[in-house]
Parts: sequence; C-alpha cells; structure tokens
Amino acid sequence: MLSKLLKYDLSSMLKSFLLIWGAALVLAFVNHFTLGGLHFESSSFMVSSLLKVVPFLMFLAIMVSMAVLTLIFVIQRFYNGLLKDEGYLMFTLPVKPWQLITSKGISAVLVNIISGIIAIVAIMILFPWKDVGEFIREFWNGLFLNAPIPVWQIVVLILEFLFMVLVNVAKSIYQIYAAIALGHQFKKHRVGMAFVMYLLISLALSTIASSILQLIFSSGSITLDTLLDTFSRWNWSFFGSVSFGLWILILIAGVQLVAFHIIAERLLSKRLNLE
Amino acid sequence: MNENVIQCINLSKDYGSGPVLEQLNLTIGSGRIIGLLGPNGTGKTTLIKILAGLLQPTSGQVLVDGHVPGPESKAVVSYLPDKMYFADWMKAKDLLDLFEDFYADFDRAKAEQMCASLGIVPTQRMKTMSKGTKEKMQLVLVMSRKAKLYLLDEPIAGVDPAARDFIMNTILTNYSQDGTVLISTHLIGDIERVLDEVLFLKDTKVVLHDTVDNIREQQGKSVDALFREMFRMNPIEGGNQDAQ
Repeated sequence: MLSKLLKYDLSSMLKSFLLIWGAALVLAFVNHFTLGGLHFESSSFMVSSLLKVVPFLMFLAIMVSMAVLTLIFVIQRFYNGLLKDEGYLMFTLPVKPWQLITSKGISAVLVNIISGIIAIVAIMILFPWKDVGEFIREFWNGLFLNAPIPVWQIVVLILEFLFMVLVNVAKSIYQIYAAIALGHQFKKHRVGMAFVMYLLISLALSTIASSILQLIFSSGSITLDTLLDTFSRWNWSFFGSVSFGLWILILIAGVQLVAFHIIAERLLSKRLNLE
Repeated sequence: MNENVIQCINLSKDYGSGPVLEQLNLTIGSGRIIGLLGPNGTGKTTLIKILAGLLQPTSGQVLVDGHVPGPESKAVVSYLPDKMYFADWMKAKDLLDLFEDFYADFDRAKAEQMCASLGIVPTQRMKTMSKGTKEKMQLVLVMSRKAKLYLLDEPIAGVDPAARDFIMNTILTNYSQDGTVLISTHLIGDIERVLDEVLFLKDTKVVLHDTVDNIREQQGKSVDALFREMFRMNPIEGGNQDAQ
C-alpha cells in the first residue's frame, strides 16, 4: 500500500517541481553566458566587479527560491493533502495513517535532495566552467590522491556524511509534520498554532540539549580537557574519530526523527478531526 | 460477513461547544437504503464522518462491518463527502487509477463507461471541470464500487431537479444489492420513494428509526409529511402588531 501511495505523492511532486528544476537549470545556463565568464574581461573595473556580483546574486536568488518552494511543498503537501479537503480522499483509503505520513515524508525528502543536487549543478553551470572544472579537479585530488588516509576510509566517511545529511533532512521535515499534527488539535487557528508548536518544539529541543551539556559538565568531574584527554587516550585514528562524531549526529537526529513520526502518527490515528 | 453493517454504542460527539451527538445507539443491517434525515446542524454529517473514520467519537463506540473505523472498514465503505476532495493536479484518469489501486471492489470498466456517458474525458484535468461535473465525477467513483456500505452525504443538495433525478438514478442503478446505502438529506420528498428505512436526527439524538412502510401504515402519512410535522418551526412573528 505504501508503494501505491508513493506513486501518487511522487507524481504530484514531479508535476510541481519538474518545471521549477528545469527553470533553475535553464536560468543558470542562460546567466552563464549573459553574465558569466564571457564578460569578465571587461576593461572597466566597476563593470567587471558588478558582472561578478550579479551572477552570484542570481545564483543566491535561485537557491533561496528553490529552498522556499521546497519548504512550501513540504508544508502544503502534508497540510492540504491530509488535513484539508484532499484528506477526505486520503483518510478514507484503506491504509494506515503511518503509511500516509511515510509516503508524504519520503516524497518530501526526495524533493529536498533533488533540489539540493539541482542547486549544486546550477552553481556549476552559472560560474565559469573553466574555474568549476579546476575546482572539481583540485577537490578530487585533495580528497583522494593526496589524502593521508586510505581511499576506502574516505568513501566510508563520505557515505556516513551523506547519511547524516539525509537523516537530518528527514528530521527537519518530520518536525514540521509533528507541529502541523499538534496544531490540528486546536479548534481554531490551526495553521497559526502549528507555527507556534514548531517554535515550541525547537525551543524544547535546544533546552534539552543545553541541559544535557550542563548536566555533563556541571558535575565538575568532566571538563572539556578531561574529555579530550580521554579521547586521546583511546588513541583513535582520524577516520575513527570523524566516523564516531558522524554517528553521534546521526543518532541525535534519528531519535528526533522517530519521536516526531510517533507524535504525528499517534495524533492522526487517534485524534483526527476533519471538520 | 457481519450482519450488522453499522453499530453505534453510546456514541457521543462534542466539538467543544456542546454535544452534536449524544449517547447514540443504533444498529443497521445490510441490503437496505436508509434515509438519514434531519434539519441542518443536527449531526448528520458528523455521524457519517465518524462512520467514514474522518472524525473520532468523543465517547462510545462505532463498528462498521464489525470493525472499528480503520483500513478494514474503509475497504468496504464507499463515501461521498459533501465537498470536493480532488487535488488540482489530478486528471480524471488519475482518480480512476487511484480507486483501482486501493479498492479491490472498484469496477474500472463501469466507471469508465459512466464517465463516457457524462462526457468526461479521462485526460481532462479536474481543475478545468465545472462544479457540477466534478460532483458527478465523485459520484461515479463512489458508485462504481461494490461496497458493503455507501455513505452519501447530501448527494442532492444544491443541485437542480434534473440533476437530482440523475443522481438518484445513478445511485439506484449502481449500488451493490447486498450493500447498505445511508443517504443524508433534508430533501425528503425527492428520495422518499426509494427508502426502506428512515432515521430522524433531532437535538443530538435519534428520535425515530423505522421502516418507511411502518411509518405509512401506523402514522397514515408520508415520511415527508411526518418530517415536516416533527421539525415544524414557527415563523418568527413580530414587528407588525402595531399595524393590527
């Protein structure tokens, strides 16, 4: 059933985003020629610096609009798709609420990832291709050829890093879902209350984080120095310590992701009221 | 198969500003057409939405085909809401695909045939359809299922008499004979001829649940006449006393 739901959520996603992604790439391509490398050799210093700034601003505009549209998509597909009129269709399908939420979540994560990739590709198109090529070459050489650690360790670290990003993206999306589901519990001003709930969740999370840190360091027995000392005594390699750090981040985001999913799922299962 | 398609046990619903349904006890069997009748604001839509699983009861229990509203009950309930539930991006074909994917009892060929007779092209976007056509599309989807329970919320409200006839004929010629049809309406005259039973809702309670034949026999009047009698409201008077 989840795969069937995904089919609909993904096609809705593609219909909304193919145009935006296409436009971002085309815009980057056009700007590359009109504002990019071709005119960089202009004799006037003012004009040439302006022409360097403008493409950057254009690129910034592309990034911002893509980020905003992605955010709107995440909110709108969940709120309109489940808790407004479309919810009458989705919640009368013979599926469980967790499947509805997961399907929205997976498509939202995909939109974010693809938008991210498109943004990176757009930057590469926008800037002078010679420079981009140079940058990629240097980056590649620095990473793999001149690295002080074996290539397989770099590959593992990159994969762990990407996984950490993925879990964090999913966590951020599910925080919005949990906030919307909490806002739905109010009789009036449900959108406003969802916003308030989002802020409250963020506040609660930062309070919890700072209390945990305070708890660890306030006892006096643990200080930053003793902690570093412990780590150095463990005698971990660069690979081991970076990997350890990444998995800690994955764990923190993962716990939040699961908690947000449970909040949204319980509320939409037990306290759904489509009025 | 469960004999009782609908069972409500001490069902109450309160949105926070007073009860809409209170201690409702109700049993409805299969293979009947039931009119859920009552003036506006008496909880007809609320009861239907609880049965469809879109609202949670404040207290009490509801069983649909022996199941608490959930995936099992939703698989056998065909629900026509009182509003449009289409996403703008969808085409008629997308909806047919969706129903075919999720409902094992959906008869695609029948739905396509009904679409064709209504002049709905499968590639037509929902956004471009008129309100009336959208309503008909929704009815086509709902009535192309061989469901155990059809929940039809005000299917003939707000349409002209010709469209009313079309809608009622579509319902009567397409519903599964073993299924139960629960139609909520306040336009009793138009549907009285097809009803087997009626449920009168008044002041948060079921005030009458009987067969149409019994009502006619015992009360000696039509359901419509009885309804008007039960829910008669006195016109607001005043303002003209001085003139008399």
